[in-house]
Amino acid sequence: MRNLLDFLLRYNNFLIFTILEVVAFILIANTHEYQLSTVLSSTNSVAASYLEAKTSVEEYFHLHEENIILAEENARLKSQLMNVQNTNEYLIERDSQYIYSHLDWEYIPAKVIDISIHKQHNYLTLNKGTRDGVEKDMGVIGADGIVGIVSTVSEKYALVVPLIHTDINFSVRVATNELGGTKWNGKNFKYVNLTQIARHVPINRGDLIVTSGLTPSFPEGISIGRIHEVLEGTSDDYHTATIALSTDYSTIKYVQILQNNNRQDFDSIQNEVD
Amino acid sequence: MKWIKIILKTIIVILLQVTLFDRLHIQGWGYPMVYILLLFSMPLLYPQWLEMIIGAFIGLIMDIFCNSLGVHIAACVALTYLRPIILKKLVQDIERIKTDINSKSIGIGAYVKYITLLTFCHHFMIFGLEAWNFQNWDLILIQTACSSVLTILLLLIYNLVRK
Repeated sequence: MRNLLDFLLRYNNFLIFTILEVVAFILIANTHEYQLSTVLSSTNSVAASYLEAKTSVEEYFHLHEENIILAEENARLKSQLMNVQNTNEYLIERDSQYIYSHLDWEYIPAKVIDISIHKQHNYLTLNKGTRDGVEKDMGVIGADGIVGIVSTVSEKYALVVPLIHTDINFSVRVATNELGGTKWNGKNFKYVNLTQIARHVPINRGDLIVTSGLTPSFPEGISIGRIHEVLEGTSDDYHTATIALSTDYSTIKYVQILQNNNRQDFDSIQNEVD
Repeated sequence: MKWIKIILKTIIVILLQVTLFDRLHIQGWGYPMVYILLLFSMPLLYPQWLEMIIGAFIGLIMDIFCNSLGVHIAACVALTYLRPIILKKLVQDIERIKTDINSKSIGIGAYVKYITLLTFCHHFMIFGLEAWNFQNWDLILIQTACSSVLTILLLLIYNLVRK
């Protein structure tokens, strides 16, 4: 029996090769749904522990820059807080809904322990997981704007699909309140394309692009980037424009995961509509 | 003892790859994938199906770190399948080099040809399968070429430096 098996295996290398390749191709095809397995990705506890330890060591070499970035963010938040305090009473009288709508979001701070930016399908690995309250489809923002959406969560770690992932489409709003989307062409991690904005809508270089608030992952009005270039002369019905992203993926180290306290309501309404 | 050494070497090379060499990205043009040295230097003592399984396993570990399930498996299996075929073409007395395959035992010229062919093949599969379509075919070709040059250079330097 053993001899027979040996014989078959020795003369059927091509067969084994084909079987292994078919398995690999099936795995790749399934992976591109952007939901990855928690064991066979960097949220795997062994791989992620190593990545986390590595990041902790690297952190010591960037403390100075981190301090500057934190101080800048602190200053920006303080000035925002000042504005809010000044308008607070006025707002509560005028529209209590405005204040409440911002209380619906809670922030879970997280550290980026691994990131890829030069592939077609990039991912970030964060050091927070289900035991910290992270769930699939939660939004992730950084100091400058939105980063991505949580796609896979293990007990201690989460995998985030960033804007720079060729399979992902984000819902955005331009200055005139028109809705559009983003699409990455897989080339430069600083820019994404703006899609679905009809040609009659005026858009200019430097216009701010923000989240639409139509998905339960993000509140409305979080910065995505600014229009970098508007290409003229195409006969398409839609604008061809690129957005310079506000988040710099090459330096990102700390992010916040957004927890939507109204998510259940949103999902149940969505289910009823469907 | 010999097995502990092999396993240790495998772990160290893979950790070096994910910590150091994956970061040596030149502005998106490519990066060296030196972990295929593990497959290049594998002795020809075992049946080929076992080599392909080992290749698939090393590919799987890389895929876990790279979040690209299947891509490295496919490339490494192809590499281990083609390796004996190419070695038989390049080296006449295959029996002599069964236990150690390096630039000294098979000659520097043959070794360069051996790793160049297999590295190009492996890297092309990595970048092609990672993209999963040929929309950015120019980018795939550029990344394949740059990464291959980097990998081949690093592997040759390693081979010449070590005794």
